[in-house]
Amino acid sequence: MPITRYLWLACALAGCLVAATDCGRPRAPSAVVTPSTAAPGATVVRFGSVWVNEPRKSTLEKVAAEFRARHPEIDLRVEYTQPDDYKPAIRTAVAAGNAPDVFFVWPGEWLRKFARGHQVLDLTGELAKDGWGDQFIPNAMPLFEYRGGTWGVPMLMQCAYFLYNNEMFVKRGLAPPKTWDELLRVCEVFKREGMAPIGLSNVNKWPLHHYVSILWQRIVGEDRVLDDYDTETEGSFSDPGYVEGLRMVRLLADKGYFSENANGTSREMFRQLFATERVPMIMTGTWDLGVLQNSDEVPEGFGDKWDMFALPEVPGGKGNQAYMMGAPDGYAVWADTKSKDAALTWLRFLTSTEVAQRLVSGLQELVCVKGAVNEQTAGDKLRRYAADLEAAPGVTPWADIMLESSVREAYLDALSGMLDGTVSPEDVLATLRDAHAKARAETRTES
Amino acid sequence: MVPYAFVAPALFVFCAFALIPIALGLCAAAFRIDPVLRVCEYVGARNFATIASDPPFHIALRNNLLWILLSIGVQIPLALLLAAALIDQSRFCRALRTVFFSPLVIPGVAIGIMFSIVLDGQFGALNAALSWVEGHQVTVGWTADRRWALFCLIAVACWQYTGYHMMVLLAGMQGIPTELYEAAEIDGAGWWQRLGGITLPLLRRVMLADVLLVAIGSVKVFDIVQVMTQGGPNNATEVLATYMYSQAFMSERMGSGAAVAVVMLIITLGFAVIHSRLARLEAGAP
Repeated sequence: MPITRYLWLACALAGCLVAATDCGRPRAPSAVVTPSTAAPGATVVRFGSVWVNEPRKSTLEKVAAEFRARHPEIDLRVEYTQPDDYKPAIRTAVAAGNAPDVFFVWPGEWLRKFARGHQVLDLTGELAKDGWGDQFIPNAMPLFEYRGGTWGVPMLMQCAYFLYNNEMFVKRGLAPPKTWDELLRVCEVFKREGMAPIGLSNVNKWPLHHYVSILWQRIVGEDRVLDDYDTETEGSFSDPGYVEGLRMVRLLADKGYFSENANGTSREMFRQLFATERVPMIMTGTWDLGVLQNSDEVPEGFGDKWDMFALPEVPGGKGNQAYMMGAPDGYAVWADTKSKDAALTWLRFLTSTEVAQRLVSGLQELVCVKGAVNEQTAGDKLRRYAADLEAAPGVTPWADIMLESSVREAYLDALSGMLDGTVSPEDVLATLRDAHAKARAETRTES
Repeated sequence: MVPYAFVAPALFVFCAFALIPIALGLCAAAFRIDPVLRVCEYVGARNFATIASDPPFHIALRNNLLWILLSIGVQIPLALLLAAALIDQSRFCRALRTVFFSPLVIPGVAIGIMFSIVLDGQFGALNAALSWVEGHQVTVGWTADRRWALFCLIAVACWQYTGYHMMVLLAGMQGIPTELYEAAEIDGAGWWQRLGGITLPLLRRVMLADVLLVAIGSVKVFDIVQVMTQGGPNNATEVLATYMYSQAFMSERMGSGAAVAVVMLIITLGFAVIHSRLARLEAGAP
């Protein structure tokens, strides 16, 4: 039957095309709920998580299974959502009065808005009980505090570092730069050889602003910067250090220190630039440490080739030059939950030292609980990161989590224009100021 | 009542999934809505004024217009030529028709990912091929360079949909009596003469409908742009649908997002009206 044969042929062809696009690989679905195994009558606790990828998902599943075994009176249901889908999904769930009892949050303005809308519980009283609040690392807590309350608990802490190819540096007699000027000198050495010194991916728009955020903290000062980000203050980005920081980043682009086509480079290709030794340096968050240390994405043994250095200082700047840049993520309790006590029992269990240590072992990421990172649970680089964090006088958050959403979008768009040379640093700042002023006027109307 | 009973199920589905959401969207455009802050405030036409004064909206409108023109200019002639060339019922032609149609069955997101890899400036297959031809390293940022980005996206859309329009035109061609072609052949008409003298005039109404489909599809384009460039760099590839998404979900301005949706609805309805007028003129209606 020719028709049947052609049907098979069409199916095979479609299958090949789909396989070629990598759709054949099993992916975590957008939203999945784990089946319940609890006894009838148990209190249901819905837990909204974005840990859809391995090893996070299986580690969380093990912890959840242990919790269910210890607390048969609580029916814990984990609901997974892809991180990219999460923001609209949780807002829709909250609007529909159907949010999970405990759900994932990014701190900063995103969480503050939930607090302003009375959508999450103030956990200040709970954190004071039994020293629960004291067990978190100090640098993780401030972003969850707002208007005298604490609106969530931290889970994983992410900070930015420069990663560099040690072999490429040693071959040229270079040492990791400590200041911005030293960084420029290192870049020039590689550039003279015709190599882009720093890999950059900016298709998602946010990576470039990490450079600007750290320069603003170094030049303008951490308190002033936080004040200016906030739409509830009189901050207006008037310090001349703002445009200076933008010009310094523009200089990196103008001199060709960033890899080509950064506005179209995805995160995967960005890691490949570093892993295939096309660029000697990248600036990235600690979420990439595990992938670049040991995964299918990088050649075998590549994990031993690279090291990391702290974000460079800007001597003479008004900020504390020892600050790190980053932010924790965390969890909040829905204000309209009908299972508050059970939800808090789960959250306390999840953030206990015992479970935190198990999470660090499984994930090789920094869990914001004191004592979670130690020689038994963490590798060298993670331990060094934990020590840096403990020694740091503070952590400045990246701007995109602190800016009001419409301000963030306008600012990040303008920055991607600055990268390709179509928008000047002055115009980026003007765009930011304009969007910020509009958002501040709206915030005042709200209150 | 019996006729109403017959149409009731279809009417219910239409109301539930089209008419009511459209009505709600129209209402939402007149409100400032923030579900997290529990805000729902009537603002009249302010959302429309906001988007009208926003430069990315103008870029999105211009890009959509360019998308429509280029899609019609590329997809319809290509689809027509393919349909005319592959109308034969031989195995080879039928196999090729399947090949050209197959991109349509791939989800837009998958196509976006696939072409992001092909067009990547550093590791992409296109630059690798060009490097081989040129004899030196080519690193054009096809989706990073604002001069190329939009055209690359339109080209990807043309790759995906030309096969579909080929099928639409092919169906129209199969309705043309074969005697006309036989007579023309006897009179010594060549392939191009038959195409220009018989196929095109008799296919006019189908082509009109197809042009409308291309135009409406071009107004709604979202997935390829969102996956490949997210409207960047600096809004260079912004289209109305990505701008709507950005307003509603990234900037958390649901009302402004709804206002963009209303603009898209008006444009789409405009095309439908134009089509209906032209179709009536074609049929000789007063």
